[in-house]
Amino acid sequence: MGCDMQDRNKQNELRQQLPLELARRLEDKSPQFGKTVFMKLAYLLQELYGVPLGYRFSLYTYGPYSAEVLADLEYANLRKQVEVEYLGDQQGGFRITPGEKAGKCSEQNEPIADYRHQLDKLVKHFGSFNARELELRTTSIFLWKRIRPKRTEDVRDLVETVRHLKPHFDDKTIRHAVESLTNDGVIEYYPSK
Amino acid sequence: MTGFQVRDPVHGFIEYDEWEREVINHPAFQRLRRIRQLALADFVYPGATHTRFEHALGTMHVATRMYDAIVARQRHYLDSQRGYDQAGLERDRRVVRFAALLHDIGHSPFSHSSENLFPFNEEDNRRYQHEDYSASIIRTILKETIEGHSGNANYGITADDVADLITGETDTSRMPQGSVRRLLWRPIVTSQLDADRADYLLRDSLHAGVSYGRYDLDRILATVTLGLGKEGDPSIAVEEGGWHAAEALIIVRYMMFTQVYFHRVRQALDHHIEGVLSHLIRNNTSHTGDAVFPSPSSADTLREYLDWDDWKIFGEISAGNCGEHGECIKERKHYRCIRNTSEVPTDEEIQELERCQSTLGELVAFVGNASKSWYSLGGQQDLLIVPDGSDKPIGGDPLSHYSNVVRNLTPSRQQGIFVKLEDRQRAEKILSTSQQ
Repeated sequence: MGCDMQDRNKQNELRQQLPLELARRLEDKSPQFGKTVFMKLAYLLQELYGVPLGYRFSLYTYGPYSAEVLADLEYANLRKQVEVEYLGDQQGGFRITPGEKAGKCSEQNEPIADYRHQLDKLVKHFGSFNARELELRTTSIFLWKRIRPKRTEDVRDLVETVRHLKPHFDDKTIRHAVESLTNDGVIEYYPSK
Repeated sequence: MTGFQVRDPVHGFIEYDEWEREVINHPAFQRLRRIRQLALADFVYPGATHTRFEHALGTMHVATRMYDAIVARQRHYLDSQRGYDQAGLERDRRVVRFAALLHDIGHSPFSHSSENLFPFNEEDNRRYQHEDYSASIIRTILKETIEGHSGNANYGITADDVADLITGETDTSRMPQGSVRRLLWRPIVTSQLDADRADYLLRDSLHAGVSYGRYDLDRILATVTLGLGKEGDPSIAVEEGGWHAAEALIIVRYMMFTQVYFHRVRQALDHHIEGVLSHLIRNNTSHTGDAVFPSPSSADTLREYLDWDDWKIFGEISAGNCGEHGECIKERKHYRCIRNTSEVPTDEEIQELERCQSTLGELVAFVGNASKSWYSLGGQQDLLIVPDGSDKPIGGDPLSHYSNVVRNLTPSRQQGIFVKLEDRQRAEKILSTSQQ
């Protein structure tokens, strides 16, 4: 069964509103709300909290990625809803802030307002992480969904797999990230059939 | 293994071996000779009749050159930090070559022109993409050809290894944990600087007879390497010495988009192709439901899907079996664009276009939208530029930091209104009256 035109229009509106919505919510919360953080939060919003953004994420060494997410960010930047500024490599890359036309966009805009509870949870659980921390967590979640662990012991396999993909993280850091995601109930075990 | 060569108009001789020849000779791959790279772009550029077959060979060739260049520059890092040895590098080189060779094997007739007829995947309610078909064909129809060849005895390469590199899947139940390191090479197959793009820009430019698509591939290959993204992940990068060549690659892609891929006649013909295929699928006696291609979910439906190619469609158009859209193509009476915005429209331009659309009502045949085109320029990661000569991945700055042109290159979001040829004068008259 296909996604009808109304669903797709709603999805487009959601996508167009997301950059500004997150820029507003993370202005005082994120250590630096840049392109990577935006990408990873869009992933979490869709894959963990079920917001129907319709992005297709696939895995690279730098974690889940979808070109459509950056395309939507570019469009929001073009319409001056957000401003995307490059600060330099030493200052952590890009910074996204509400743009000069942000004031024209109501904070009560539908349809994004329909998902405020999911956005609240996203910001609460992940809003204060930096890009590096989010990369590790979203990569772990992506692999977790593929491995579908059944037992706590399977966490070892996940940690090992993440380490092979991201050898610049040590075991302790990876294990801590995975355990905190599990303790927070963000990722769950898949019962045996 | 015995080696073979084929002469290519872009790269000169392209080499392959017996194992790869088995794959190339497979009917599923030979079908690419019957899938045009640029659909009916020859209505505008008569030379653009080349096929996915030669592009697939060219992509394998460029991917290999990229892989070899990176390994030569980063061998110490790959050995010491990623645990590679010579056998591991040779195995992954083969996987990269197969993935590049087969990345487009799932294309529908006339390439991207008919992708709106892919069915929806019930698991995620998203339309399948040609990469999904490519991966499924590799995992099923080509499985034995890839895995069963005697040349595989020393490698143990699976069809899943090849498909996973295309899709970015990482199912560790079938993939040894250590193999996830192979994702390091995925950007060669799909990224801002992948072998696919590196080949098609040169190839499409050559066949179309335009010079916009030319850039310095050799310079890029002399400077391509691994760099570190700001979060510490290794990624494909270009050394500073090659940043102008990388800049040219981005600019020529923009030029090719505006001048070739999103040409207004090409847009109209793509619309007609979709109409023709929709008509044919609906009239297929075994077909029920929406006018969509068979899904990539089983070997049987994939075999049905592989029966669709350009030759079949041309035959049906020639026989007059394709309804109004078929006649538009056959008689070159394609729909005409009567109003369009600039490449980067202002809100006022979009409002004006919407006003025209509303005024014309049912006379509007369709509205073309650059941002919805498969070739859309949006959403590309900034290419990483790193200092020259490092034998390990190091950090750098994005290309947009170096290049004023790239920094200000905004993806086209042009929109245009198309009407039937016989309605053109009437539509123009209505619009000119409404503007007075």
